[in-house]
Amino acid sequence: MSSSDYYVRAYVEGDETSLLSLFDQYYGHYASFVPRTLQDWIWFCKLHPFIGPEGILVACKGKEIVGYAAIGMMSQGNGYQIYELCYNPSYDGKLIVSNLLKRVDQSVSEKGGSYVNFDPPSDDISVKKVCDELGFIQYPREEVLVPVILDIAKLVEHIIKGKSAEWKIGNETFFIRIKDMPHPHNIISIKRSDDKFSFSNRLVSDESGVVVDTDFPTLSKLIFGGESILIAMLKSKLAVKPLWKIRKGVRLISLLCLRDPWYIPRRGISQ
Amino acid sequence: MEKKNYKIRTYTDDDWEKTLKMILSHTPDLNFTMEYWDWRNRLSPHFDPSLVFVAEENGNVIACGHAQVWDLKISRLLTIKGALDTELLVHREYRRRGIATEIRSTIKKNLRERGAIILIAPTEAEIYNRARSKRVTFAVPMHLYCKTAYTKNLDCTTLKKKLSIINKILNEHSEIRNELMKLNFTIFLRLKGYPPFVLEASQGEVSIREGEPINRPNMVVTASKELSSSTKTLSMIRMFFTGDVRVRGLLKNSISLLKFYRILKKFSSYTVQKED
Repeated sequence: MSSSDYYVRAYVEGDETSLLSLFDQYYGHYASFVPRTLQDWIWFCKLHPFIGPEGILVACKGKEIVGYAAIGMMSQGNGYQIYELCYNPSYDGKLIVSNLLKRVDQSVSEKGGSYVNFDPPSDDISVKKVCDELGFIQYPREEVLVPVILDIAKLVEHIIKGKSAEWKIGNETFFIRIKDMPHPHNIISIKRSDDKFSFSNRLVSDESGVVVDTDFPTLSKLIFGGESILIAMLKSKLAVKPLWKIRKGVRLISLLCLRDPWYIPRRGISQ
Repeated sequence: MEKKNYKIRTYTDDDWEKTLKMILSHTPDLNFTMEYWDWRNRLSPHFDPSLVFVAEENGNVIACGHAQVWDLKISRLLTIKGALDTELLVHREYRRRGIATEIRSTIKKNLRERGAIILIAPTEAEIYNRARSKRVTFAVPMHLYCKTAYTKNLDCTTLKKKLSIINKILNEHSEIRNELMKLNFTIFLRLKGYPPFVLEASQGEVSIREGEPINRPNMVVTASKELSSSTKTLSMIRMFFTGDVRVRGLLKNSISLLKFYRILKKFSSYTVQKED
């Protein structure tokens, strides 16, 4: 099939399921991704006061839906925002994105908009190249992503259980002692025996194990990638006792580190 | 210590109008409409009225904060309960009284009760830096937060706005206007991020017109990289030598251009004075 088989059309009733699966496919591998239900997708795109059905542009190849863009007015000025742009990576991503962005330009110009803003994931090289070719300029992002931990014990538990296949420490008991905790419990104990984990908030004094001493901001940074284990140790913000079990302690902390890229598509005014 | 006259309580449907009134006064420049508030809250499939809190004083809503609990991925294979879409707004006149802190901790407490483990907030860097100075928070590092911001101007509205300020200053300062009177040239610009436009200086006025030039321009500037008023002179020279900026007719019009540049420099000082 040639590039002329690709075209962009307006959204029509019945496209929702295909668009939802494109969204899940495209954004699904990012941390902070929220798996959407059909109801969620309809709420976000179709019912969004700034997007609406007329703000959804659908890219097709033949009869198949291969991408879409959701555009809407910005909260300030006479500009428009591309809230979402997804495509099926098994097709010609560059062509799909290029077709969609050209149509976005046309649609925004028809609506009298002066500019278009777009915050795509920076690891998508196809989008980057197309943006460059179509005359988009990069501006310094003035946004940061702040994760606030509401329950660190549960978070640690979820991460360890989720990464249990990567646990290569064997049977061991760990006590993470956390200073400057905003929550009442300042100890997380993790016990692994017979391929099973048990978690508690108590320090069992008669039990020998690995003690990891740290503080809440450091542990948060270690989990979300803001600090390396070595630097934290050099700064004396992370210590493992007894010293001969340092390898096990470091392995535990490495397991807790989340290394996947984070991305949140723009949702509303405050973002 | 200042007496606390407000109380924090959960939101009810009767608060709708009062809350919106507060929000509109808080952010009058934002396109915050009743429709938006409804969409964000009442229409959301994840709306939980018990996670919307208002601070009330003398029957008026003076602050509002809300959150929603979602299933959130924290890595490719890990999904936990987390809060997204939180907003916290305090009326301008009631700030610096600890209302936001109180609402925030109420929201956090309620989120914990609903099993939320983390709260994710995309925040403006400026707000984050202010919070960081109080050592209350931290951010996902840049290499992991992979978002790039792009923009493209479809017309020259922003440039025209700047130009209207220039012309206003010209009307107020005849000495610069007289200098500009001596200049008469047309530059055709193809700048990245802007549609092609013509910059014209004639009879003491500067104007911009979108599209191709009608007559042959004195100069043609083509920039394949971003070029703006904030671009430093050194970067501009580098771009000129690397070919990212190409100028046709530069030698022929170098004197006029230098004069125009000097006039523009004067403008920037006038603008600063006006802002002061």
